[in-house]
Amino acid sequence: MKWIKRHLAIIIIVTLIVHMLFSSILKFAPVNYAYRDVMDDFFNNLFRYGISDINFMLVVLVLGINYCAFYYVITLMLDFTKGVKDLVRYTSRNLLIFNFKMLKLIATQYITKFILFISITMLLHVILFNYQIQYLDIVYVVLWGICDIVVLYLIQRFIHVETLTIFALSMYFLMRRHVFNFWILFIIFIILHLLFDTYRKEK
Amino acid sequence: MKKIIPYKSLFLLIIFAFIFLVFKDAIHHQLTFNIHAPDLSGNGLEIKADFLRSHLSLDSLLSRFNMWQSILIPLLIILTVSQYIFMKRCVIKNYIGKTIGNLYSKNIFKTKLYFSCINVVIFLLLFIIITVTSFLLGNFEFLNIRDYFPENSFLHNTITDIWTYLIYYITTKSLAIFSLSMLAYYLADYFNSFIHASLSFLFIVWLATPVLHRFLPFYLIPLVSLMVTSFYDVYFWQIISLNAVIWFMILLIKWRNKYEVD
Repeated sequence: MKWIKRHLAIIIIVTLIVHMLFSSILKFAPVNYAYRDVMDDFFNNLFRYGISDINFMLVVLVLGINYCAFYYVITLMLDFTKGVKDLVRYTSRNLLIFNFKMLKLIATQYITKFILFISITMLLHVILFNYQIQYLDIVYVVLWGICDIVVLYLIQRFIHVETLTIFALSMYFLMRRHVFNFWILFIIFIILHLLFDTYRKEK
Repeated sequence: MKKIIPYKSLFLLIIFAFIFLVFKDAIHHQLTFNIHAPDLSGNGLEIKADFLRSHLSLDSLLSRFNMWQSILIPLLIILTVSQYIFMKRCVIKNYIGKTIGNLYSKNIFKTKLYFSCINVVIFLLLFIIITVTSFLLGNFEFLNIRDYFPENSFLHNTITDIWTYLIYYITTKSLAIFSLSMLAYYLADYFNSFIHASLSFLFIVWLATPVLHRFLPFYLIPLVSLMVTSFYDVYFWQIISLNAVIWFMILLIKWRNKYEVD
């Protein structure tokens, strides 16, 4: 019962915030801006307009929504630089298991927030903007989640400074489109990196 | 003190990111423009130089700077917040109990001033780079200066040419950067941790600004003090009230956190 109460409160607050944010996106958006573009813009394609057409409020808002939606994930990412990683390392037998544990930790933290956020945005789009969800939209969202997890993993693996983590995260939120086009390369990179780590360990 | 500050090289990263983003269009034009294209009427080299001069005009460079500052200056302030927390925990803490008088809080205030002045100096450096390049290589002009201020305000009569506008630009931006960075350091004092201080500062700066913009007039929103130079019809009292809102928040934090010892 306690769990339901807590999550209900969170869902109501997040719904209110998301509704407010999306309606404010429409305020600062360029002219000839359809409702359908809102989701597209927020998720990826901010830089299709060219610099002169973008309102800086829109850019700031995209960053703000991302920081609001994934607040707990970002705090976890910042905690990794302060010694949480060492705790995981002590409890794992070798480097491969350690890397898998980190990936699992990030993924489990991320996916719950992601599902909450995406379901609320989808619902709001269906109710408010009469948006028809298609098969490709869901595939797109799933791929987006995988890409996010991969990038978060890479950030925790290679950056060990708090401020640089914030820099990298905010750059990623802005340039998500460009990263998203090459997400499969990132997965190949991660697999190679894991193999290389085990090889180095065995040697 | 200067030798101990960590991650000083990240300042260079932010400066280079600023320079790259501001001059990106000019660099892209210089690298990709084809002077032998068949649809050009006239000398290709002259047309290329004309376009470059318009890309490097003060008007377009400052508008691009206004666009990217809303992202990069909060990040710069966060970098200095981490350095401030390091200095506070590792250096200034040792003043407690060593001397008579309130040396600890004096030194904390001094470091706050020091770091906020660093932010202002980096802004001035970037501003000098922009103005000098547009003065030497591009069109040194700023169109429609008088449209930024309403006719009955005294700014409309005082800011008439480009030099007075530049002075106005420097003073408003420096004041905004100074007060915003002071707010960030007081938040760091209040929360006593980098994560909470930086994320709450980013929420104030990035999330609260567009949301509050729907309900409140623009002169009551904190981050707009950074962007006020790109707003039209600005009165003098509105610029003052923008900074006053930030200082009111600082006073509120200070009142809530009277007896702070790390």
